[in-house]
Amino acid sequence: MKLNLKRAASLHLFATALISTLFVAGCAEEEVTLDLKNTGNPYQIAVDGGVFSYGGHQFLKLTVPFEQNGQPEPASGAKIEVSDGQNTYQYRETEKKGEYESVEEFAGEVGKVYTLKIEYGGQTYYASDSMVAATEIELEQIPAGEQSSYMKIEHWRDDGSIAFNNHIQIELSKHKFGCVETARWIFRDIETDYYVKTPKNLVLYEHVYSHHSSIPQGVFPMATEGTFAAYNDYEDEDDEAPIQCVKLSMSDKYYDYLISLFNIADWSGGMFSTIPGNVKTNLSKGGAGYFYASDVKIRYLDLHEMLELVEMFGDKDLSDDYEDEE
Amino acid sequence: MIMKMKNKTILNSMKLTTLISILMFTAATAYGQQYTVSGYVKDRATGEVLVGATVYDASLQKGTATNGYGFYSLSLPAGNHTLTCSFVGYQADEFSVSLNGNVSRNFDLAEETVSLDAVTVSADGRDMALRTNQFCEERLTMRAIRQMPTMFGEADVVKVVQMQSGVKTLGDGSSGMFVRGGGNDQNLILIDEAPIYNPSHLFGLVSIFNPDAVNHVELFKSNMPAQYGGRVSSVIDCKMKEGNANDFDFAVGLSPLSSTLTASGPVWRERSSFLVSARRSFIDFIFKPDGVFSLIPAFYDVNAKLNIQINSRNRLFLSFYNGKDRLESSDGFFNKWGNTSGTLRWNCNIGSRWFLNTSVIVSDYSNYMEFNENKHKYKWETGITDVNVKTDLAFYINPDNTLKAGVGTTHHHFMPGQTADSLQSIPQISAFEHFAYLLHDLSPVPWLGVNYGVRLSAFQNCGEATWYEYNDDYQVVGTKKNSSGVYKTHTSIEPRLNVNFRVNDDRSLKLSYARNAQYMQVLQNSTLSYSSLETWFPANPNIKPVLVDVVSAGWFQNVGSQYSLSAEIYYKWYNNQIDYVDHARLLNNPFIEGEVRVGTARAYGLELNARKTQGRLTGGISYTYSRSLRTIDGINDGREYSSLYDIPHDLKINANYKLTANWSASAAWVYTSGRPTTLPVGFYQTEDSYTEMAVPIYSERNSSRFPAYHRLDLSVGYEPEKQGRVWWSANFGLYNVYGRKNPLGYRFDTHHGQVRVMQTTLFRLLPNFAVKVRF
Repeated sequence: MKLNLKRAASLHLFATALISTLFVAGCAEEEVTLDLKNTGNPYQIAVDGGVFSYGGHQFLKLTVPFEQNGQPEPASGAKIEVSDGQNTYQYRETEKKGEYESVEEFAGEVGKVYTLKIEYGGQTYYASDSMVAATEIELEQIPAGEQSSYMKIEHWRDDGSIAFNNHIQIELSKHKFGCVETARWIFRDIETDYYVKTPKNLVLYEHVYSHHSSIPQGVFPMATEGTFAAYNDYEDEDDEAPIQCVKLSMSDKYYDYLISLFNIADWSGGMFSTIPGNVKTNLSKGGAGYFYASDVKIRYLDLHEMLELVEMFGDKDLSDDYEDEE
Repeated sequence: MIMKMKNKTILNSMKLTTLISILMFTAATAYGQQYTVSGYVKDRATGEVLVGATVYDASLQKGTATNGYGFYSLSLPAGNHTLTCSFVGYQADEFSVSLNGNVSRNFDLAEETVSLDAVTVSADGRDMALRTNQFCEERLTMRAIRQMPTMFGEADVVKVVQMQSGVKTLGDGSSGMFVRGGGNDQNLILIDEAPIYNPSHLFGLVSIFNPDAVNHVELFKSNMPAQYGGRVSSVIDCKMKEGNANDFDFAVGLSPLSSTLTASGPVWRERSSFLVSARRSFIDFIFKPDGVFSLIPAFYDVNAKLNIQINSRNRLFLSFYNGKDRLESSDGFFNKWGNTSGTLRWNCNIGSRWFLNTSVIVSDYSNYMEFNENKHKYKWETGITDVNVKTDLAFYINPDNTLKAGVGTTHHHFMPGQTADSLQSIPQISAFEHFAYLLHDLSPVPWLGVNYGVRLSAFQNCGEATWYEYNDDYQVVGTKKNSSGVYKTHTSIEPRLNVNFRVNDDRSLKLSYARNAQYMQVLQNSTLSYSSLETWFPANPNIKPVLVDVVSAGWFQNVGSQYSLSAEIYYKWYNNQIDYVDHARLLNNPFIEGEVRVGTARAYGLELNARKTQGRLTGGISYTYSRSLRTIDGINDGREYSSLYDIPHDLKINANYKLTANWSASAAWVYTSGRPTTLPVGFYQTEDSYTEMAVPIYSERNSSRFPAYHRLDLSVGYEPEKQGRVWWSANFGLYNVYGRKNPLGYRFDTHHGQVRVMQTTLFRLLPNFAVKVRF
């Protein structure tokens, strides 16, 4: 056989491109049904909820664990009470099965330990958590991201006069690491008095978590899950503050619970996922989930403070970009 | 108390040494006036030394084999002798000598002309299993390695090692090797005596062994000779080619993943030669991490070697290896890792019966990861740097009696994890690892061979260091510091014993016991076997070295002239085996030892092999039944559980058929039980704000299993004899011919109250090719 070097080289290039494509694209992910080995579920009940220092009725949700193709069933008919050592608060089931509210309104107090007692299915479960104080919200604590930006958009009013809309975007990732304080946050639209569900004027995300610690192992090499933004358009700079920031404190044990939860949920599946194991719980044997006690701090952000946030974290004025696009 | 124990240890060592000396003297005096024939066995065309070639006196039925450097020494009674030198794939050479003094004689063997019916792949290995007293040794020549079907066209040493019985791997494309129930970090991998800490390119799809630069590979499973130590499972000892001492050779190799350039030739004809071989991947030239493929890998490696024959007794070698991988993603993730090693080696045959090998070795492994997130640049850097000096002395007393001894010391510098924030870095550690060994290979009567020895090892943490003290709950309760000198010493006595009962010329029964100690381990809790982010972590005041005792027995039998059978069993006991707690955090965690739990482990197995080593059709079938189990307080509620590589059933079949003088076809089929994993047994719901999340519930660790793994690979090779000035060879193959979807891993998407199980598969049918042009 004679070797034609030129032909061999071009053939090689073609074959390499083809096989490299197969190689790079070869890694495929598809949904499958697994025959999960049932060696016995260690949990009979899951708890979600706690006590807040913000007054009102306190809520809890109880469900029964389920298998891969099943659905969570509410744990209905449970007898629940919460005690702070001095007072005991009874709970009742709401119209929605598995959801319970305190019979009387009460507000949790910083420094107190709250103990939950559940009687369900012939078993009694206990859990307790202490309420640690949340510090007042400083702007630099707010877990805004670097994509936070500001844009001034010129427009015409119906009467023909020129006006400006101040379009502000505050980036909020679900997790932000290396923060001053570990906390759980809720960002709320005052106008709709509801967080997130309608991306009408303000798009906000579910809970946002600020982590004092550095980025965890499981996150590599994936980006932090989901980046979401808070938008608002202002025409009048003197508009009332439209965003409510809610900061919820967490005990060290609650934070441990959340970290173990994220390890097998948000941060699993990557190249450096940690060894899977059950999420830590403060429920007694047979119970899953967490019963927490959180101090609540609230702050309202106005336009000027939102601009400050952009400068602090994002520092991006996109007005020029907008004009270029025009 | 400690003093008493130390005295007892020293006393035992002295007794052992005395016993060895007596046995050696007895064997040495059993022979009368003797003279020695010694020298090197080389390839006639290239001058490369041939390792494992035999030099044999048929009339006396006495012989020897060349050592790892191609040297042999055969002492025989005075008088006339005809010696035959042979090596698989080469024409035998005869030499008649009248021995009335020591004789120096090199053999230059010519490669056999290929005859279809007389193709021999590993008859050498077939006979070696019966002949040598050492247990569990496989010698893999590049000729045998090239006959296995490949993943990307290129012959790959690690992929061939993975095809050996008792060696497990975790799915497609991995370079992970789990030998006889041992971990991936329990294999001592050497290139020209330099340790390699990560043998993987492209996450393990390609190994770092460039087939153009490799001369041969020796694999020891569990029962390594006393000159090897520091790992408890296996030794993969790879020797590089020395380069063509007679003529200049150039080769260009092309495959889908990489191109290879190799040059070798004489520096000083027949006295000195060089070899340089370099590989570079292609994928990063064709694709960029721009979103279509978000993660793009790339690698290169360079092997170089210079050997100088100073005179007939002294040779000097300089070996160099450097390899790097890069992994870059479009979202700011960057990872690079690689090994660099250099070996300066001096071979000296003192007289005709003594062979001295002295080496100075430098080895470095580093791994750097960078991740950009929200203006913050996170970096994580790990590594290990070794400087090693050692010397080995072999005394070939007579054909049935060889004594080997050696001493050495290594300075290790560990960087277990460095980040920009010093509070989150794992403190760096320095240590010395010393060893001394004595090994005696003896055949006092024709039917009995004994290979026994002892290795004494010590590991000393030293220099400036910070470490932490933990309470029973693994919480840090104190910080300790050392400014200079040794602050912790671990020692081990590692006896090794192999007994070979040669039932007859075709049957052999071997028994073996060994104790091995390992002073460093990889902290890596990924369930994938090819994460590149190894953190090598040494024994220290908190972590003891792993100690393994292993007993083995094996029956080896040749059937006719073409077949061989073997059956081996083993049982291993592990002490100080580490594993990690649930959700262990090994990055950015200076208190990493708090995530580690220590316990015991055991592994046992049965390995059955049948091989056909001659004829147009060659190949083998191997079946392994084995278990690998751990019991560690704090993990799985203290109950015994499967290790990640507890894969009980393992069937491997490979065959090569010589179609014509130039063309051959190969096939390999692998079937293994599914590997253990921890899968949920149920879920519970929690509300992550308004989003409902299904949280997995687990029961026992590694109590579930992946589906069985199997695949068939086929390849066709064209390899003509050298023709003219330029000639070429090629290999075409299909990996995973019937497209089996072997899962690489599972991910549970649990958001919005739904549970979706996502399975990742690496490759289904993958064509491959490799072309090599030589001139």
